Amino acid sequence: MTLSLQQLIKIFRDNIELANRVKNLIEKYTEKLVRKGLDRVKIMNFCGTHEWTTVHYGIRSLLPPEIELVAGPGCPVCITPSKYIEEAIRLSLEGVLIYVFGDAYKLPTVTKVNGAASLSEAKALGGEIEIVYSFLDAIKHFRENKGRVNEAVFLGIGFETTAPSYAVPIFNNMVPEGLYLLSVLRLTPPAADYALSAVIERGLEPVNGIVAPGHVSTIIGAAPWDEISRKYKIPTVVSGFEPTDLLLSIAMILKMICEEKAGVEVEYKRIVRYTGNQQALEYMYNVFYKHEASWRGIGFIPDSGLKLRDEHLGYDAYTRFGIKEPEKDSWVDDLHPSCKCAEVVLGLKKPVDCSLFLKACTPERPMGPCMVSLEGTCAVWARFGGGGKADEIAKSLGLW
Amino acid sequence: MCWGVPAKVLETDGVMAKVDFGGSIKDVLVINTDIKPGDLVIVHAGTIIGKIEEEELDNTLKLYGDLLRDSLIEDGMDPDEAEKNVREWIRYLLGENRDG
Ligand code: SF4
Repeated sequence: MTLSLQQLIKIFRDNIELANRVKNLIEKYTEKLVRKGLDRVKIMNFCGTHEWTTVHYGIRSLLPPEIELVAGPGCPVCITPSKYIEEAIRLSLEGVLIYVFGDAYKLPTVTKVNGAASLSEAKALGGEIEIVYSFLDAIKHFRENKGRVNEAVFLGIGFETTAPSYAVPIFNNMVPEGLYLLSVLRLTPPAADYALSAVIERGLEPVNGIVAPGHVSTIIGAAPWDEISRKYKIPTVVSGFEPTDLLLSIAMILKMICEEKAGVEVEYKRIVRYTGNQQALEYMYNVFYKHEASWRGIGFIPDSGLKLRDEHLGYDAYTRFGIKEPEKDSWVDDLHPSCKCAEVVLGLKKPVDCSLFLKACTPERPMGPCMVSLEGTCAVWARFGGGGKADEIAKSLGLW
Repeated sequence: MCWGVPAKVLETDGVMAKVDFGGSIKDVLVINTDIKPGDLVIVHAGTIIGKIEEEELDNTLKLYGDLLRDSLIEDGMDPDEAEKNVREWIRYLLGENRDG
C-alpha cells in the first residue's frame, strides 16, 4: 500500500464530508460543555501556521460561538527583537552580506540605522542582502560567490523546527569559512508557559485548551506539552496543519475538557512521536545551549533561546563582529508606541484591537512585527479577514 | 515560519538527500540516518524534519473513528451499529483516497 502526496492532501484538505462530520462532533461537545455550565471555551494555538490554517480556511466561522480560538506566541519573526535586525542592517551597510528568510526581510526596527528601518530599506540604500529559503541555500550561495563576497552573516531566526537546519551543517563542518550565524533561535514551550501565566496574571478568561505546534513537536516531541498541560490543568492536542487536522484537534480538546482530562494527545501522529526526533535534538544540543533570551515587546524569558556552544564559536556572528545581545537590566520594549504586537503575540489582544490595524499598518507597509511574516497574526488577519468580521457576517446570515 | 512541505525522497547521500516536491526536485539536509529513497517526509527550511509514517496515518483516522463512535453511542445508537458505521466510514475514506 503506497501513499502519494496527492492522496495525503485529499484526506486532510479536500474532504468536505470528513470536515462536516468533525464539525458536527465539535457542536455536540460544545452543547455538552454548555450543559455543564462552560459557555466560553478559549483554545490557544502556538504556531503561526495553525493561525494561517485557521484564518485561511475560515475555521473560526465553522465553530460554535462559544468556542474562541486565540493565537499565542507562534511566529519567530514577530518576536525577534529589533536590536538583532538593527545589527544586521548595520553590517549589511558595512559590506557584510546578510542572508535572511523572505519572511523577515521587511521586519521593521524601532530605530533607524543609517536611514534604514528594515533590511529591505537597507538594500535600497546599497546594503548587501540576499533572501534565501534555508541556511543550506546560503551555504551554496556563499560558496558560489566566494571572492566577490568575503564575509556573510545568516540571520538565524526560528523555533525548534528550524534549529536543526543550522545545527546539522555546523556539526558536520559544512559551513564555509567567512559565513557566520547570528542565532536568534527561540524555544516554544517556555513562551507558551509565559503566555498562559500572563493570561492568568491579567485576570483574563483562562485558556481551556491548547493546540500545540505540529512541526515544533516533530523535533521536541509531545512530552514538553504534557508538562505544561498538567501545570495549567488543561488539555493539549498536538495538531497537524490541514484544515481537517485542526478541526479534529479541536474536537479532541473539547472531548478532553468534557472528561475533565489534562495532559497531551497527538492528532498529528503521522509525524510526531511522544519523545520527538532524538537525532535532531542531539544535533541541536551538541551545537547550541539554552539561555535566558529576549522576545520582542515582551522582554526576557528564562531558557527560551539557543546560543552556539564554545566549540562552535568559529561560526558565531556575535563573536566575529562584537555584537552584544540585549541586556535584561537595560531592556526597553521595542515596538512602535501604538503597536499591540506584544499582546497579540501573547494572545491577550486581537489584531482588530490595535488602532493601526489595516490603517497605518498593512502587509505592504508594516509598522509592527506581527504584520510582516506570512504567519504573523496581524498579517494573516489582514490577508484573509481575521475572524471578527467573518464572525459577524456568519452571525447575521444566521449560520450559527 | 515553521511551514513544512511534504516530499518524496529520491536518493540519499550521508546528510544530504534529493527530494521531489511533486515535480520540483531539490537537495535538502537529512537529520535521521534511517531516511531512505521512497520515504514520504516533511521538509522545513531545506531540512527533512521527519518521516510520515503510513501506519500512523491509519491511527489518525482511528482517532477520528473513536470520536465518532462515542458520539453515535451517546446519540443512542447501539454500540455494534456505531462500530459498523465507523468502520464503513474509515473504509470509505481509505478506499477513496488510497491505492491497494
Ligand atoms: S496591526 Fe500592526 S501595529 Fe498593530 S499590533 Fe499588528 S503589527 Fe502591531
